[in-house]
Formats: sequence, structure tokens, C-alpha cells
Amino acid sequence: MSVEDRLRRAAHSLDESIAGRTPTSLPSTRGIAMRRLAVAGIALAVAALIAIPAIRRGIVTDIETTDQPGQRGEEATRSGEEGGGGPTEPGTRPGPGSVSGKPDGGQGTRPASGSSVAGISRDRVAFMSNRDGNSEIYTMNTDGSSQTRLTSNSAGDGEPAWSPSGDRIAFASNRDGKNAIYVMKSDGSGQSKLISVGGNGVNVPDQSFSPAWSPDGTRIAFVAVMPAGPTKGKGQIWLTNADGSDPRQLTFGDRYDSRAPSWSPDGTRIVFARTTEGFDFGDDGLWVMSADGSDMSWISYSQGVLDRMPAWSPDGKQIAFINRRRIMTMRTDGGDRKALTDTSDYDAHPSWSSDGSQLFFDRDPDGNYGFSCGVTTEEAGCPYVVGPMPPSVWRMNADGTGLRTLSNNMAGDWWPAFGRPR
Amino acid sequence: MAGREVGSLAGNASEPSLLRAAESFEEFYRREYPNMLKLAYALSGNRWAAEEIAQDGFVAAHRKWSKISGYERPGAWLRRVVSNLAVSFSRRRLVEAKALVKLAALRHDPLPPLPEPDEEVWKAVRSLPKQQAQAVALHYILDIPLSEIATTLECGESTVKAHLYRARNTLAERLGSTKEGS
Repeated sequence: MSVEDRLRRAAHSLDESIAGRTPTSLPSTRGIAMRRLAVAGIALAVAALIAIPAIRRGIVTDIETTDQPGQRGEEATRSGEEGGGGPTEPGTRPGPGSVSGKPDGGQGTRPASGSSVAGISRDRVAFMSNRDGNSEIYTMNTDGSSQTRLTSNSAGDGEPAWSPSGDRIAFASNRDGKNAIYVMKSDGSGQSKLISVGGNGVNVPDQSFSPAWSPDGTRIAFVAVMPAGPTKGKGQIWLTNADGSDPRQLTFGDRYDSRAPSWSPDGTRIVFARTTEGFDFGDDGLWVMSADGSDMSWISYSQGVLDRMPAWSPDGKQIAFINRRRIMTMRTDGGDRKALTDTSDYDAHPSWSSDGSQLFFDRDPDGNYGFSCGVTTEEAGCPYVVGPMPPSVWRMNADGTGLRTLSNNMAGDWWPAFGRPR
Repeated sequence: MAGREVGSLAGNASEPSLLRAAESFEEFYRREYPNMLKLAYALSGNRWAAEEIAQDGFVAAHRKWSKISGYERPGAWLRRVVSNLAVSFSRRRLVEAKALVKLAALRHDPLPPLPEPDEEVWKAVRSLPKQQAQAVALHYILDIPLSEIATTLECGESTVKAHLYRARNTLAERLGSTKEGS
């Protein structure tokens, strides 16, 4: 049979497969769609409200730029015509906070964490952006203004994490060919690899990413993915001293894939996300362990939909995480689960402000960036795919109110990390 | 909830336009849904998540409906979004994909599996470079003119022809079929 005939027959099989799956004959499906459309409608209204001040001044924010493919370059030019932000690096655009008359887009919510009455704040948000063609690390004020590029090379840099004292940023980079953990000063200077592969007498797998500083700044937890062998692609949580010495593996198990470590504020425990080969979902989700890898306990009672990307709150009482596209919080014992966001987009990578009043996260209409798998990831098996609608960084109050976007460029911004540089 | 505090504002200020959009969008939704479902199924290879992917495309379309409805071919915009979503889905890391499978399974009954020889065809299509796979799916599933495919993929007709030519050659090799008819 010719390939032409096979393709036509395969297409006909699809016709038969979906027979009856029309909107009118699937009321439950249609109901879901209509509910989501209603949510989308509300989101559209929110977007319009937030965008009004910017539109009046000729600025097109990220909210309304998910447009017909092919139009983004034009709108990028339009938004780039306006200045008004703080000092920016070449290739960056002023954040919407620099042009919005109110810190929360006029929604009347409380100001950003750390903002003083005079509007002077030390707080910054590090994040990833591909606005210059590949992923680099940037920082910005908590209102999106004064965006500054910290890394600049042809490799991928990303997954930033501030040291608690704010003077350094750990991040992942593949500049030497493999994803590895690096550290730099908060102004981008002094970039150096934390652990050399095979160095220090310990065979750390050469695909490492997702660094997380201990609250006292002396240690860094991270994820290392096995590059080969029967556990290829599976991650384990590792720990090293902040100077790269004494790397050691905290989680084990060939069937387990552990990701996204986050420290308790007292530095005694680490929460992380774990999935199990075979996906029986019996105890997948969020786990907590002591900082030495002992006393593991499962805290995620998510009824089948995985909890991922945990972030321990500064007061130690809550964990923010994502579940089914939403940013959620729960108590550290797994109780009192609350959804803070609920849109048709994929919300991911929650990061608390140091006072716990704000959450930063990224929102991706396509869901391509919601993964913790390193900055380049072909080898790790999870490439970032740029969809028609790029992700953007958002901020909200810890109760889910005061939602606003901090991105206004046409490229993707994601993986925010709150910090207080000095 | 993110939208809670502005819900009343949405109800007052935006309701009229929202209702008008929903009315015409409904027709668009009914007409295009089967085709988008097939496209999502073929390009994602996931009978659990196909409806989720198709609906994601419609939700995205609804968000931009005031603009998209004015396009000469609003369907092209939707096809592009759905085909991108479906390709992205198929390329995601296995762990994430399976998590989404689980999610989708909670919402929908899965589509019935395709006969093995036909599933083999779509599996081979999904292994093609992205635009070749999309061109093949659009051509054979939706049976639309090359000019429509070119609009959807934002390329020229000659590029579409090249995609289809190379795709058929590759598929013939991988499926052990002849290229006759191509």
C-alpha cells in the first residue's frame, strides 16, 4: 500500500475515532469548556483593566500580545518605542511597573513586598528570559521595572536562586556543554561553576540544575539527572556546601524521579516533588525530608493530579506549589489546600517574597515552560518548545488577590525568584 | 482565586461584548471542534489528552476572539495553535506528559484507540520534523488546500509542498510503503 493510501486510511480512522465527540453530544465536556471560557472571559476583563493605563500611554503589555502568529514582532516594536523605565540593558524593555500609575495596575491592592512609601525597595526578582534568542538570567524590581541582564552568552543560563543574604545568585547553565550549577554575584559578575563534574571525589551526574540555597546560606540543594544507564532522565536531590565542597546525594531509588527542592525556613527540612516510574500515583507528589536525606514523609494528598514545584513559605507554615496548572498553597502537613489561581494557562514556579506577602510565578498559555529540567534540555530529555504564546512573570498577593503581570516583552519570561540583593 | 476580586467588574463592564462574542464563537466552536480534535489526537498521539488540547486551543481563541473573528481565516489561527499545542505535548518530558495524561483522564473519557496500522502511521508522522508533521496532519486530516496550510503554518505554498514531499519520502521509508501516489 502506498504511503498516500496509508495516510488517507489513517485519517479516516481518526474520523471514526472521534465520531460522537462533538460539543453537542458531550454536555459534560462542553460544560467544562464553557466554564473555562467564562474564566477566560473574566481573565480578559482583568487583562483589559490592567492594560488600560498602559494603553492610554501607548504601551502594549504582555497581556494582550498573545496575538495572531506573525504579529508579535510588530507589537514588540510598538512597545519598544516607549521608554520610561529604569536603566535597561540592550535587548530589554521597560517593565510595565515603570509606566503604570499604580503599583498594582489600579486594582487597589496593597503594594509590592518590600516597597517603601517612597517607592524605594531593595527587592528584586531574578528570572529567565529568551528575549535575546536563548535563555539568560535577568533581574527586575518587584513591579517589573528596571530590567537588567546578568548573563550573556550563547549557552543557556537559567533557574536562578538568590542566596538568603542576597549577594549571590546560583543558577544552572550549559555553557560547558552540560547543565551544571553556577554561582555569581547579584550584579552578574564573578560567574563560576560550583561543582566540576567528577570533582571533589564524588561522581555528581553531569546534568545538574534547580539550585536552592539553605536559609543560612551555607549549603545548596540541587537536582542531578542521571545522563545514562537504567535511571537515565530520572532526577535525584543532591546537597553541597555553598563553596561546592562535599557534594552528596540525598535521595535514592531507581524508580523515583525527584525534583525542585525547597528549604524550610529553619533549614532543617527540604520539600521536593517526586514521581514514580509506572505512575501508579500512590504516593507521588510532594515529599518532605530532613536536610540530611532522612525521615522522608509524603505530604501531598492530591487525589491523582500531581503536585509539583514546591516553595516553602518564609513563615514555615505553608508550601506553595502547582497542581493542574494552578498555583496553590497548603499547610506543611498537607492540609488546607487552596487554589490561588485558576485560568486556562499554565501557572508554575511559585516564589515567595521574603515577608511572605507576595508570590511571584510564571504563566504560560502553552504550558511549555512549566518544567524543571534544566536550561537546555535536549540531553535531559525535555526540550523547551516555544509555542505561539510565550510565558510571562506575574505577581500576586499571597491570598491570590492583586494579580498583575511584570512582563511586557514579546519573548518568554519565566522562572521568577525573589531576592533582596545587597 | 485570581479573578474573584474583579468578577463583578467583569460582569458589569464587559458582559455585553462578552455575550456577543460567545454567540458567534459558539458557531465557530461547533464547526471546528471535530477537526481540531482529530488534529490534536494525531499530532499528540494521546487519546486521553486530545480533547484537553483541542479545548485549550478554543479557550485561547476565545480570549482573542474579538480580533480573531475579524481575520479572514480565523480557523487558520486556531489550527496553528492546536497543532502547536499538540506537537508540544508530544515532545514534552515523559513524566510531565504522563502527569497530564492523568489529569486529562480525570476530565474526559479517552478517545478509542486507532487500529494498530493507522496508529503506526501517526506515530511515524509525529516523529517527523515539526512543520512536516503539521503539514501532513493538516493535509490529510483536514483536507484543506495548500494555500490554507501555508496560511496556517505561516509559510509559502512551495514550502508546504516541500514539507509534504519530504514527509512522504521519510514516511515511506519508515513504514515500508511505496511512494506511489505522492
